[in-house]
Amino acid sequence: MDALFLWISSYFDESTYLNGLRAGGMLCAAADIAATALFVRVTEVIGDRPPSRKTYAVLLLFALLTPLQLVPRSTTRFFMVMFLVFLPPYMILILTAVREAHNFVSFVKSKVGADFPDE
Amino acid sequence: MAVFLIERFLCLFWLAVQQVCFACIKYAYGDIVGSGVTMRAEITRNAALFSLIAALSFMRDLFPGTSCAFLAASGTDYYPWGVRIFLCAAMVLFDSLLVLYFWRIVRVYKRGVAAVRRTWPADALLAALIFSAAAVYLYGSIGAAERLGLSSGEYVRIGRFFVQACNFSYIALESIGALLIASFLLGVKKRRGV
Repeated sequence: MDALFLWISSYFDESTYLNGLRAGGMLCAAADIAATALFVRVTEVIGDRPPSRKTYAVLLLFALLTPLQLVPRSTTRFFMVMFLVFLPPYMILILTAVREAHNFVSFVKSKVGADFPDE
Repeated sequence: MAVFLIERFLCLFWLAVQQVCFACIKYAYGDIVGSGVTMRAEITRNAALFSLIAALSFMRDLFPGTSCAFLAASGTDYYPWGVRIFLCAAMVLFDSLLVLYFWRIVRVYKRGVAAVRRTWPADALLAALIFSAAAVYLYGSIGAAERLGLSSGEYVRIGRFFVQACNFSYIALESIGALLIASFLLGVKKRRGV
């Protein structure tokens, strides 16, 4: 264990950390925005609604803004930019989850009940 | 100190987002399998847990002197890294739980309620594993830093390494989550003939 911590304390410097955060931030944004868009689509399909262009436009806009995470030169500024880039997609995710939870439950229950009537 | 304050607020914001989503998904799963859980109860439970986590992360500010255990004989103060590691572990836990519960819903959707099992043992095991790993890393690294005589600057690198490892865990978990949602969406479209 000591050898591992000694190695980390010697080689894991500020620039390695910041580059890792930048790469992680880009990948994380891609995964989060994709998950949010897919979840919004699930609720639309369940509710028999057409795709909400405004929601997808906001998600696309913030997906295009993710390279801003490559700009900051300090970790604190990086986290601030990350917060600004992630805030709208997260708000969409929360609003969709809270608003659609009941519809989602009813849909899954109806399908589970229809396919497994004895249970 | 301002950096530590900003980082804690950002971590708590992300944790709040995860916990709201977790309350919704746990309510959804509970209602689907008929456990009688309500959304209000889940939100209240998660709000209480969030308040506890927030209080623990501001322990020194709220109760000065209670975090002396993190002040080593060498003079290095490990408290900020203790808090960061704790918050990162909490975020990994809630990300894991979100993926786990969504996977359970997909499983019930595909196989029916016969696939339902008790959830708390797996949830508790997951929490124990994640927090044990964080505790082993924190106390192992503090011990190593004291034995090796590392400076506080060198310990910062050790703390950041943990944050980085958590970052890559979120990416893996969120990618799995996106794939699960995509598979669920395909299943729903197939049944509906969309």
